[in-house]
Amino acid sequence: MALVVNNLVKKYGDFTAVDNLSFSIGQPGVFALLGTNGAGKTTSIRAILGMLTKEDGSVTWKGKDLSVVEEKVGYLAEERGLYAKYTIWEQMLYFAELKGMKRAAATVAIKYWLERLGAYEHIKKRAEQLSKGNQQKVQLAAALIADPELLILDEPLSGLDPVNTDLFKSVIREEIDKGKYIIMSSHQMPTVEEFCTEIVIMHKGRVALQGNLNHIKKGYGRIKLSVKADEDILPLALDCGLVVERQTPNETDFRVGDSSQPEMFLKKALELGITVVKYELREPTLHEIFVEKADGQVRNPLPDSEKAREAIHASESPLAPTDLSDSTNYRAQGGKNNVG
Amino acid sequence: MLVKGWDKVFKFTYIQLLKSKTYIISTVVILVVMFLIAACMNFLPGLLSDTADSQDSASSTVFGGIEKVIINDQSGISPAPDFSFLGELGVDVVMISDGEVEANVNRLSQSSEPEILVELTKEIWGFSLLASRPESITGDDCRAVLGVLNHYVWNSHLVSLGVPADRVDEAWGHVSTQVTVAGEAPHNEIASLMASLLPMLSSIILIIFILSYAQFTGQSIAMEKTSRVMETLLTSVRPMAVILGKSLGVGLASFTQFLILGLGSALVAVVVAPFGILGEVFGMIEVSSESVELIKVAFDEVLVNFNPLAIIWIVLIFILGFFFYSLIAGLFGASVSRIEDLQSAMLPLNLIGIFGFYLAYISPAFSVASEGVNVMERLSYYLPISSPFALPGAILSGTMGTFETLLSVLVLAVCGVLMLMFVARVYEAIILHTGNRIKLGAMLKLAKKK
Repeated sequence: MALVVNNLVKKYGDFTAVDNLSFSIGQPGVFALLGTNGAGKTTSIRAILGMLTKEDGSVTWKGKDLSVVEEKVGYLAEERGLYAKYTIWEQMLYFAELKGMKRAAATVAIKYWLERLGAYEHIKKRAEQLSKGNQQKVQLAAALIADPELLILDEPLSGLDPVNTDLFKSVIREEIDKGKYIIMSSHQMPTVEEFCTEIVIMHKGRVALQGNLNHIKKGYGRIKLSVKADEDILPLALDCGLVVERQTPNETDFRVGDSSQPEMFLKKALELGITVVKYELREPTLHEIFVEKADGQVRNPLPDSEKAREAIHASESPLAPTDLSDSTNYRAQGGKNNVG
Repeated sequence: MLVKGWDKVFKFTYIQLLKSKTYIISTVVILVVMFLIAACMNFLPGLLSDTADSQDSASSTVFGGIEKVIINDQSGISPAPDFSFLGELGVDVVMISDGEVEANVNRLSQSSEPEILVELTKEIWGFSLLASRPESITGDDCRAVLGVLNHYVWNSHLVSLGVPADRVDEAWGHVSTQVTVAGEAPHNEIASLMASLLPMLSSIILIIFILSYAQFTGQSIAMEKTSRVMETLLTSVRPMAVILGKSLGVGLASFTQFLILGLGSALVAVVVAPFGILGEVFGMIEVSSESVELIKVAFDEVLVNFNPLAIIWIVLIFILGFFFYSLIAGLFGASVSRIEDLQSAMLPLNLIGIFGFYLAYISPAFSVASEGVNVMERLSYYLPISSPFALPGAILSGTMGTFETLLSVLVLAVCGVLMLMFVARVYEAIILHTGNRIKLGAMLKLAKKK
């Protein structure tokens, strides 16, 4: 294992901000740390980096306690911070030297990353003269400058326009190709699905769901039905036992309670001569899973999801839920930790 | 490990501070103000008299534009004073009788000639010199003439009373009083005065530099925290390295400015002093050889302790003292999450600094009253909050011996290290805190908890 976080606990007085967080990253790639606002993601990241003293638990990198002073760790903080009055060159050089880089190497790296991110023209400007997007580029460059093996990106794409979002994504993709270990915290679920293989969803400081994204989805099964038709299909769908989850002028999403329901619905629709333009029986998206775990019990509980998880869990029982030796192990927290 | 990377923080802090507009402007402004004050004091009187002279094209003398002095002597001094010595200073002297006074006063009131009338009369208390001038002559020039005549008239009076002319200077002396402990050498009065002023002066200079720059450390840390740069820094170095490097960086910048201003002061003194009114005054007034000797002895007595070792001690004390205060300031700076809370957060630092300063500033006065180094003064040499302000003056005035100085510096250094350990403990816990300002009590609890 490259990074192992084991039973991490962080408290502020009587309030437990992070409660027994455990996960591991064995292979290079992107690991997603997800959760609602205040779930404890940033606190977890700070505790992992040693910025905050933890009450309990351990964080190891390649078998040794993780020390950001010894290891080159790149970090893009959620709340961006640059010296407003200093030029980009001055602060980039400072950040590079703090990472132990020599001036010559730092100069090359600064030039490369600022050019790669399209911000080189601003190198002599003070940070306060830059737009928010350009400041974000400088911050990402600062995180990448020392070519860190472990990269932690806290909301890397928030506030970016579509062009710069694509630019940042391409940089992240390059880092994945280089074999970097990346922890990404984001609220943009499509982006997470695009990059991440492993996820942890946190809620109120605790792990709500954890494991390989594909396994998790498969665990839920094809419990979503998206239908688009020229005629009104709602009465028929309800008659078949489907539950409306989301309705737009073009499309309706249903929850499937029984595997026979979608088939029955399609058969009857065709018999009635309804023109079905779209019929998609699918697994839930990460967005839907996230909503369920973070807020789902209140709003949109997925039917039989507990059963689905239990089934998956049982099928992979040789890999115990607490076994951190295999990060691909699907681990349904259920029980105490499952707040969903 | 804990302080790894402090040197990078130190270098960056020092260079950025030296390059900052605030630093450059404050240094230049202080130097310019120093030069202007010295120049104004030295040249302004000369410039003003030049302005008066420009109204009259007459060539100037040592008394500005005055070329002729009309004297009416009613003093009754016998033999009558001979004012012809004024001729050697480029001024014509004309003696007139009592009956000619009124006519000359009337004439001068209408005149713009470079001449004045001086009436010397006998009074109950001694003598009176009254000068009447035309509007074109400045009062300062007249007073310069009267100053010279005053000295000469009294000398003539002493001679008329039978004092031999070659011993008249002795009659201008005075009797000083002094109490010493039996067996101890008596002090030079000027030296005593200078020795008592030196600690106070050094205390004032040191508190200005130490406290103002320590506040800069606090401000800098608060700025890094509130701007969220701190999170980036803490992915490379430990908090202790940040506060250590920052404190030392600001300290060196402070010391650099201290040196620049010191050298600037010396330069201003060298450039300005030989010219203008100072030069004239020193050339004009005859200082008795005894007075010169007295001042020389005083300087020798005061500066006898100003040697390379003393300079090393003072530099060391300045650095350690600054470091101590800077750490406290850094801690208070880290306690705020909003930059607008910084002022109130720094209040305890200012209170501690002012208390330390007054302890260092006032305690020597108590020692004078008790004729020796009292407990309060001794305390001020060993308490880390006051010793940075008290020790330099004590070293220069010879109050502190080498062993005592070493002990005081060691106490200050140990307290600095303990403060660093304390600050690092609390600093780690509060540096990423957001919300309301953390109070001192909460900080102490955190330190205790850790």
